[in-house]
Amino acid sequence: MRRLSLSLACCSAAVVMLGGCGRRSGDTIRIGVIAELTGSIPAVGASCRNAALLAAKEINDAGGIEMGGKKKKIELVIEDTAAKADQAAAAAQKAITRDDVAAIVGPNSSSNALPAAEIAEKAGVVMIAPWSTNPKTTLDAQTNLPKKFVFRACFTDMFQGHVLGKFAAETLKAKKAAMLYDVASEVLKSQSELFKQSFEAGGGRVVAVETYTTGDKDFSAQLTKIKKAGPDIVFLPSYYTDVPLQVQQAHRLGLKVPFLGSDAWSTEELIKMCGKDCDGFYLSNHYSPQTTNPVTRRFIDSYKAAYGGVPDDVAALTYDSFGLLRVALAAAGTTDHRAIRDALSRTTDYQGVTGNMRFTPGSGDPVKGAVILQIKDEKFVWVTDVQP
Amino acid sequence: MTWHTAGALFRDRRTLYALTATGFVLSWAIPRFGLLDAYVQLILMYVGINVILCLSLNLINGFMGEFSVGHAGFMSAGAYTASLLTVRVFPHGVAWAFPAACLAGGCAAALLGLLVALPSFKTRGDYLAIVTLAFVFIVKSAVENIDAVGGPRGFLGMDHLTTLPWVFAWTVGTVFVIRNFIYSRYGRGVLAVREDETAAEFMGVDTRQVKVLTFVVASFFAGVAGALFAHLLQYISPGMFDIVKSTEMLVMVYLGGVASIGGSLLGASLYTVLLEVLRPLAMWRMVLMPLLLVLLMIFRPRGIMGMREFPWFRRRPQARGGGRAAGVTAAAQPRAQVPILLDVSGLTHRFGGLTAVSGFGLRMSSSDLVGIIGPNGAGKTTVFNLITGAYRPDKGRILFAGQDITGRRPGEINAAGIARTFQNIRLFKDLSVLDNIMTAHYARSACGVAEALSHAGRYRADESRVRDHALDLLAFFEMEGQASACAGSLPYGLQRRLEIVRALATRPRLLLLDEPAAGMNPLEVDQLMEFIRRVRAEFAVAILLIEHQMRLVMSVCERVEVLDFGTTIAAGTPAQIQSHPRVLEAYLGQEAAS
Amino acid sequence: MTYLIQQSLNALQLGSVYALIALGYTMVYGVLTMINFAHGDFFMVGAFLCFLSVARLHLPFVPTLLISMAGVALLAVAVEVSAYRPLRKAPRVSAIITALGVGIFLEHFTLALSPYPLHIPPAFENVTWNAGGLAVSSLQVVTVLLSVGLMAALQFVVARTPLGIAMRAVSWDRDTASLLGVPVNRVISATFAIGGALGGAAGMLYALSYPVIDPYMGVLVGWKAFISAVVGGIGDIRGAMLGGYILAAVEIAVAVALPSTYRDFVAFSLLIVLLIFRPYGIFGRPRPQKL
Repeated sequence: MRRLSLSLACCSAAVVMLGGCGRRSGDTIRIGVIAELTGSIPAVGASCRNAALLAAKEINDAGGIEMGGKKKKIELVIEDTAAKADQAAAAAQKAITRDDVAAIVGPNSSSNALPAAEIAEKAGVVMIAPWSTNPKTTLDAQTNLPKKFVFRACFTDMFQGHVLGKFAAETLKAKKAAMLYDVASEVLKSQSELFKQSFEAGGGRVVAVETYTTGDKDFSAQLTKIKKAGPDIVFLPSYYTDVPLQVQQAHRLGLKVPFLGSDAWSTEELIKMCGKDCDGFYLSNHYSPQTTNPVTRRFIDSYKAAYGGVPDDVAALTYDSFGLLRVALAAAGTTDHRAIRDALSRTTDYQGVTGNMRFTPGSGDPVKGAVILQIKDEKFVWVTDVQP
Repeated sequence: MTWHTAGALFRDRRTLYALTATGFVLSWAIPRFGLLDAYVQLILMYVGINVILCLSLNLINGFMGEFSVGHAGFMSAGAYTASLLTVRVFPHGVAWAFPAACLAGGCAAALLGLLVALPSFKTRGDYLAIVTLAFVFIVKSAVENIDAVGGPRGFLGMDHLTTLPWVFAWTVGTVFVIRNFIYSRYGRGVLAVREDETAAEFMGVDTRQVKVLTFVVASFFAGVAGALFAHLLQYISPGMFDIVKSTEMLVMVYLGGVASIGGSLLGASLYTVLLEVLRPLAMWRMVLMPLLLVLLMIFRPRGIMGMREFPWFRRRPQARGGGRAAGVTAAAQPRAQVPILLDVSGLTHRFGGLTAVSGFGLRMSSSDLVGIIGPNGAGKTTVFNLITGAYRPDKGRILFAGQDITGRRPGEINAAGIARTFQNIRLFKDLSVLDNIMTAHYARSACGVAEALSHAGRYRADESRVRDHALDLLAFFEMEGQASACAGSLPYGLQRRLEIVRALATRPRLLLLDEPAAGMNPLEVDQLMEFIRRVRAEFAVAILLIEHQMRLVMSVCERVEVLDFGTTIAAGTPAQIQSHPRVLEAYLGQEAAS
Repeated sequence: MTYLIQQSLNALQLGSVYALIALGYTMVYGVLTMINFAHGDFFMVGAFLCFLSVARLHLPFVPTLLISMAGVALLAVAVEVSAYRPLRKAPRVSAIITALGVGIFLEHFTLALSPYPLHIPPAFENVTWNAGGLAVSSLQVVTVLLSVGLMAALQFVVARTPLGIAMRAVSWDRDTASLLGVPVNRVISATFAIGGALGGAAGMLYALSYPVIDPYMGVLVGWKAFISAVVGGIGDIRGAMLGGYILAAVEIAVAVALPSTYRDFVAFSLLIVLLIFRPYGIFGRPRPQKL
């Protein structure tokens, strides 16, 4: 009996800890960073956290953000979602209710961002999902009208799939394309469908559609099938960690046509892993690494200095989310949620790491251009600009 | 407040009712007046949903002792069905839509539960685990391929319908229904399947029915939990319901404790709350949690509350119905007599190349007491197994009370009126003596499924009838004092006796005893002989027994059959057998006989 | 025709890895009737050791193999002694849950050290031979040959050596074996060591064939290898090997014959059908019930 009571007591103690009172923000501006630190996509979470820490440090080193005549520093509240939807919702709710954050950056994957966005919208707190490309993230599910408080820093699946399909058909003059994508990934499926649409609209034909599932490492069956279909080009919108496996296996099987990827490829890490195997391939990206844009150059350098590795697209987009917030906070001059939102949606020309962006009123999706890059001699090389 | 008063409150069921009522009021008041912030409210709803999941999984894995990892699949079915209904089918903004959708989600999951239960008839343990594992992959892959529900992109558009009162109501409902289920004839069947599936079947428990019911009930609630989950997050995707989700539920079940309602409440709450409380640890949170689990398993292998129960959820102590009513002996329950009770002819059974029984025949009238003797490996137990349906004979026919029972399942044969004991005692060791006896009433219980789940209708009358009958049986054999003792803790002689009483509880007309005196000392054998005579006289059963103790066979049995190499080599009265040359040859070898 | 042969070669390579991991499951199961759900994560550790050896210490193939095998064998024994041994007398399921816990711990501990997927440079020059449209790489050859070699060695150990006899004795009846003077604890540790070493070798071969590794790589592969072991008849060494090749063949055959989108759906449905017709796997037999 005593033991039972004891375990009950432990349980209630835990509940009390949960029920502990929240913190009010004072001299700092609290920003919630909700990232997939553990779970199926830890690399995304790690990049997001690293970039957030870097951005916050730079803002604070510059003295902070001026509010009401006083410089306030940024304080980060970093929460893990374990790449699970329910934990993403809990983390968002905690950041809003307990930590009284001024705004939220993250989560990144759409399956985490969607439930978190519902919570942020309901609470009226600005949330910028750096990497969530699902069009639904910023839309109200019932009305299909834009949400009021949810923004993103990337382009949507629509735009990218469309750009790449057009590029393959018109610029590369490919006639037959094959696709290989992760059937369990919401992003890649949308991109592939749009690629197919615009590629076929451009006069091409998709001769093979093959899929795999997250976590697979062997693609030989699918690649052998693709080789048999004899395409001129393979659309491969995989995450950069899968690409080297797929490309190397394709080459081993004697499939030697150019591959076409998306912004998920855009890290030098890919080239390091791929080596010569990826030479001649094309990808779409937010920005060109050879850009003369000083913001981009400086970001890449300071990220390298801080973490030793090159930033990927998640890091760049998270960094830009902070950049957008910084401007909005400064313009609002207060941590009032509505004021921040109004300032953010009035962003007209933000010079970010991932290019210039602006928000059109009433939409959380940025208007930003894309570039097409080619991998040449183990370097990303600019090919063309695409404007929306 | 001292520990003592706390303990008294803890034991009093009224406290539970008071707490539940307070809970309902609070679940309404908390969101209404904002007594707790939105974050705590969200976590409380997670706790409720996890309690439902944990309890329903505990039904399969804890109470029934199977190992299923299929709950994520059931949850997915419930979530998708309910969401499709609220978004596409039901009109928006009507009050009945959400509860109806939850019910429909539960039913969809229950349907899948039915499908998964089917393989469990044939396979158990690790193989069933694989079937459920494959089931999770299949459901996930199927949903990913259905573009109408969004495929991998998931499905959204649900209103935020899951509220604290709904979650609380469903949680209370789940506890209520599952507790009712456990304390019913079906629940006793569930526990019997865990303890000893084979013995359960011989005692008349319809194990197939029990398994199907358990899977259906458990998956129903998993489906409801899925529906609640979907309308809380307003977004679902196939990736949410993967094998990792099932693993999470397993952890909750085994953390809280197997086969315990209180354990599931505790396990689900503790897990959910700990995950939140440990948030400041960031990445190390997921390193610490499994370590805690491993440590807990080492120090409490069955979980915090394993196989134990909060007093609130224990079975209500019930007074005996109407005194010693009908009585248990044959005088009280007369039955039509048939001239020939058992007629076995030409029975043959082979194991691979070995013929264990060949051309065996036996006739018994309804008051015979027959012994089967023979050297080890003569095929005696095989004969028992053939008669009771454990094996299907290769040849031959078994007529019982004029009915052909050849090749029927053990449960059907028991229902026809044959009960048995086992060479190695096969009691339901972790259950009480009373429950052992009550389980054997399974087939003759009148209580239907709906009544069992609600404890309404005939449940009470039926339950007290069964209990009284079981207690009377125990009283008749002077074992009433041990009624609440754990069967496995009885002394050996009593365990043997209990097994016979349990067999009698199925009201057989023929009782098969497999070496009832094995391991007994001479004094115990004397008592056993008295016991057997009394059983036959008072219960009007025919008895067929296998025994090596010649003293017992020769003094109790009226007729003895001698088996060697699967055939009867001699039959007759004990006196005839004792001097039969072929018997001496079989026992002592050829030389001694000549 | 070359197309089909090519696909068969693909299945052979994948199947070899499944089979090696399945062996680890099956050996532990055979001796302890315990499902070691942490085995998939042992395999993952093997892959990370391979990374350490090839990318950091720049060691060639053979020392890398030895490091991976020895490292994982040590880990397996350590886990056995510290986490599973105290549960020897506990209900079987407690040990299974503990194994799940150990697995999750290993995943997240590795994750806390390195959240990013790691890339492993080739440990030897990978040559691809092309003959009549058929492509065979030296890596494929090494993977298949090494796997088959290790399986043959294991078969020899279990069938012919005193250790193997002791293992079979413990598997048959632990208490009696102990009464007859078999050092049960040491035999069980040895079983874990051998199973772990095979898992380590599998991890290394896998990491070289598919050279991007992450802490969760063992989860999916582990479950699949477990399925292979069960399909073959868990506890049976030949069964585990056959099961591994069957699962790989089915996966690849489904991807070849049908849209690969339906691969998991069809492959796992086939598995259930197989278990309905052979409820105890291909080589498994129900243990006869004594009544």
